[in-house]
Amino acid sequence: MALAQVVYQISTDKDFASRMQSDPHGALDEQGWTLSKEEIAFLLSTLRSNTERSEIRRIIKPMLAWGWR
Amino acid sequence: MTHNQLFSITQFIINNWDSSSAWPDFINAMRLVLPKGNGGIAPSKESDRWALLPGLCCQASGGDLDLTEEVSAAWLLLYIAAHLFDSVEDRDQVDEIKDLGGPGSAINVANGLLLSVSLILNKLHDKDQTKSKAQQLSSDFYNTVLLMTSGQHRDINDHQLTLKQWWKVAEAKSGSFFSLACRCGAQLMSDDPVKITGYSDYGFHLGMMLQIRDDIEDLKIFLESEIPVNLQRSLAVAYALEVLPETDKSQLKELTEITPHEPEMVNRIIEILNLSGAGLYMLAEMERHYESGMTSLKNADPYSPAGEKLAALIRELKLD
Repeated sequence: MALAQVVYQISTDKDFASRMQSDPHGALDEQGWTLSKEEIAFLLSTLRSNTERSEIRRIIKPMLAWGWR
Repeated sequence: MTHNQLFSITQFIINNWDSSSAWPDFINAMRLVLPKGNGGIAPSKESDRWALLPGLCCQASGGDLDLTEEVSAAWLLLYIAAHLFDSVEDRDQVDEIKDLGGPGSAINVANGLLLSVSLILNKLHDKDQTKSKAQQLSSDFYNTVLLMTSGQHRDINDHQLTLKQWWKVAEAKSGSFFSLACRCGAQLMSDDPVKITGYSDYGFHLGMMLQIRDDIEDLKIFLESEIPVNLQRSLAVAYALEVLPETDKSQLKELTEITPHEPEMVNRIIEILNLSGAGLYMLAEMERHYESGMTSLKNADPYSPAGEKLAALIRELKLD
C-alpha cells in the first residue's frame, strides 16, 4: 500500500510534493517507502504538468461506459 | 474483422443451443442477452469486444481463429452470465433484466448461459486440434468461475472493503477473468510458458484496468444521474478510508452510509475524496496496470499484427 501512502502525502504535504519533484528517491527513502520506477515516473509527470487533472470531476468527464457491460 | 468475429462467435453459440435440449422459448430468452448479430438481439456494446481476446491471443501466438471458437463462445457466455448475476445481486436497473421480465427470469437465463459454457467446453474433446488440451482448459474455466464467485461473495457480504480487500476482490472478479480469456487463447496454440504467462498477465492487468474504470464510471453515475450508487465499496472510498485521519474518515463513512443526492452532501464527499488524493491514486494505479500489461505483452510477443491490436485495446483504457 506504499503507493496509497505516497499519493496521500503528495496531496496533503506541499513540502513532500516539492521534494518528490527534486529528489524523489531521497523523499521516499526518508519515509521508508519504495515505489516502482513507473509509479515514480507517473507521479512526477502529474506533479510537473497539472495536478488538477487528477480531480474527480475532471477524470470522469470524458469517460465512456467501457467497463463491464 | 471485429464485427465478423463477434458475429461468428454468436452464431456458434446459437447453433449449439439449437442442437441442445433447451426449449425454443428459453433459447429466445437467452438470445435476448447475446450481442446483436445473427441470432443475438441485445444491442452491441463497446464492451462486447472483450470476447475477441482469446482469438487475438491465439493469433498473436501464431494460431488460427478457428481454434478458439469454443473458448471464445464459452468466455462470452460466462461474461454475460456474470453481468446478469452481478446486476441482480446489486439490484442494478439494467435493460437486460427488464427485457427478460425481471430478476427471477434473469437468474434462470444466467444459469442457462452458465451451463451452456460447460456444454460448449465439452466440444473441445471432440476436435483433433483441441482434445489434448480440453481437460486443462475446462478446469481452468471452472476454477476461474469459483475464484470469481468467491470475490463476488466477499463483495456482497462485506459492508465496507479495506483497500487491501478491494484489490483482492478486483483480482478475483476481474483480473482472473480477463487473464483466463488471454491464457486460454494462447494455450490453444502454444506450450511456451513465457508466451502463456505473458498473455495471461496482460489479460490480468487489462481486467484490473477495467475494474478501476468500472468504479470511476460509478462515480460518474453518482455525480451526473439520479441512479442510486453505493460508494462504500468503491476504490476511491477504500483508498480514502485507508489514508485519511480519523475525523475525515468518520465523516466520509457517515456520508457514504446513505446514498445522498443533496448537492451539499455530494459535494462534500467529492471534496473529501479530492483532498485525500483519491483521483491521483486511481490514475496512478491505472498507469501501473497499463505499464505492467504492456510489459507482459512485450514479453509474450515482441511484434505481430494481433499483438498490435492487443496493445491498442489496453491503450484505449487509459484515462489521459
